[in-house]
Amino acid sequence: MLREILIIVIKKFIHQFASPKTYFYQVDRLYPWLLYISLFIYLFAIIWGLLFTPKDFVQGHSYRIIYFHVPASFVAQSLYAAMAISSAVFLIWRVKLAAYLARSIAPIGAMVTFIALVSGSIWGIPTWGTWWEWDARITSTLILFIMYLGLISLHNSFNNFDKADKLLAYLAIIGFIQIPIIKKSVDWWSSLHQPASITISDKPSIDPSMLYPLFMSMIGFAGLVACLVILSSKVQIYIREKNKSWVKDHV
Amino acid sequence: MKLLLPYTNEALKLIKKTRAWIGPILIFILIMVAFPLTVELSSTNLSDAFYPVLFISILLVMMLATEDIFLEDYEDGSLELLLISKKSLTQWVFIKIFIHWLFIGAPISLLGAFFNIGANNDLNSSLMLLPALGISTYIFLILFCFGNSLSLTKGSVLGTLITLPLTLPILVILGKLTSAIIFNINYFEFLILLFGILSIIIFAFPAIISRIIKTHLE
Amino acid sequence: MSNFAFSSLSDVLNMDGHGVYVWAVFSLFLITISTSFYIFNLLIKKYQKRVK
Repeated sequence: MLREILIIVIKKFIHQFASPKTYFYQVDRLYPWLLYISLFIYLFAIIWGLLFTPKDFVQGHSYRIIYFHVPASFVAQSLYAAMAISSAVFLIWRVKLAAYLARSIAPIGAMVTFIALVSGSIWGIPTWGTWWEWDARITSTLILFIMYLGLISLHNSFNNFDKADKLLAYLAIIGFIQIPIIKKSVDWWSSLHQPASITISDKPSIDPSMLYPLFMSMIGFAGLVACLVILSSKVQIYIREKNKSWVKDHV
Repeated sequence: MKLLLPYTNEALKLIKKTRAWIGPILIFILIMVAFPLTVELSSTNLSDAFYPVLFISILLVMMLATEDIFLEDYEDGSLELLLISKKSLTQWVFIKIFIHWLFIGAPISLLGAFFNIGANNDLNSSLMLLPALGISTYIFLILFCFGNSLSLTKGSVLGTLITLPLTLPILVILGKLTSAIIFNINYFEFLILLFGILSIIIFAFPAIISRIIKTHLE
Repeated sequence: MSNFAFSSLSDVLNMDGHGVYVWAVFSLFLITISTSFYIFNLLIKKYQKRVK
């Protein structure tokens, strides 16, 4: 008896929260707060990192690119994970909103992966003396970028949104194999790329005075990207639900 | 005998479509014959370039072989018949991929090992190459089938774009395997790694592909 | 918070010869993020009009 009531409550909660209408109104309320707070944190972290941290002993001032490059590559992988999770939610529970989210994450993931690649290349010139190397980490990030492009073009080639959503979900879940490969590639293969500076289990390998702004820039960048995802998902909702009455009321 | 019936059916279907299986094999032979001609004959570096050319040509040939693997069945309605008849679509996909490997992948692996004798003058490395080629052709075949099932009605460009990122890790392993064969160290590690990948995807992917095909037919 | 790492403004721009790279990445991020915000706001306005 109790279990059935619990299931009903959970189902009702999921249906209420997962309806595009509720999502839209909640997100509208959240958006300005998220935008200004994360913008403030990001700018603060960037100014701190670029101007107030000490010079690195080995890399000189060029290490300051870490405050751009690391958040971008971190967010690029997390976005893919988010996309795979929402695809799984869509396939298992048929939550439409999850499909919208997966579709709206794809272009932003491609953009973030692109700037992670380019900033990494620029960082490579003063540090390694080469802007591109076919090493494990760089190659697998390039694979991630191609993956995002493939997902976008797959979705765009079908006019039937329902079919396109399902196919995108399958591909996103299969492509999730890439993420552990990217994460572990630096440890598995001896490569030019330095090992991760921050891991959950070990003590960070960089000095605290450089670490705090790095953490802040990661949080701020993730917040900014979340704002972009919100905007993108709003576009998706406008495209898919243009005939619903609440959308017309909202506009 | 009854168990073998679907296999023979698929094999007959493929044999009738001569272009679909002789074409890729001929293209593979063409690449393998043409590539030493473009290298200067006096050069001793022929064996260095042989393995990359071999692996890339296998990749391309597998792409060609799977280009319209499901398209014909989709267009003549036999896929829908399969769905209605309650036969297992997963099994059908598995059989289809296996038959394609038997008719295209296996000959190409043998030919690749044969051409290796010509390029390297070494029977031992050919014998080491043969199982690796057999496994990797099967893996490529499955991955391209996956890509082509996603882009069933939309042409092979989209399918290739989708499959490319999935095949790159396999190519990296094959690259490592090359040096393992040349220096004769750690050969079995990489072979077992390839075999492990194959043993997972050989059963997982037909199930996924059949679900994707069902989505297309809905 | 540590001290200011540079002695003058030209030092900030130059960064011992590495300034080109650091400021290139900075401008890359500035441009891409601001344009993507701009583009998505534009798209939202476009589709809002279409709904009307």
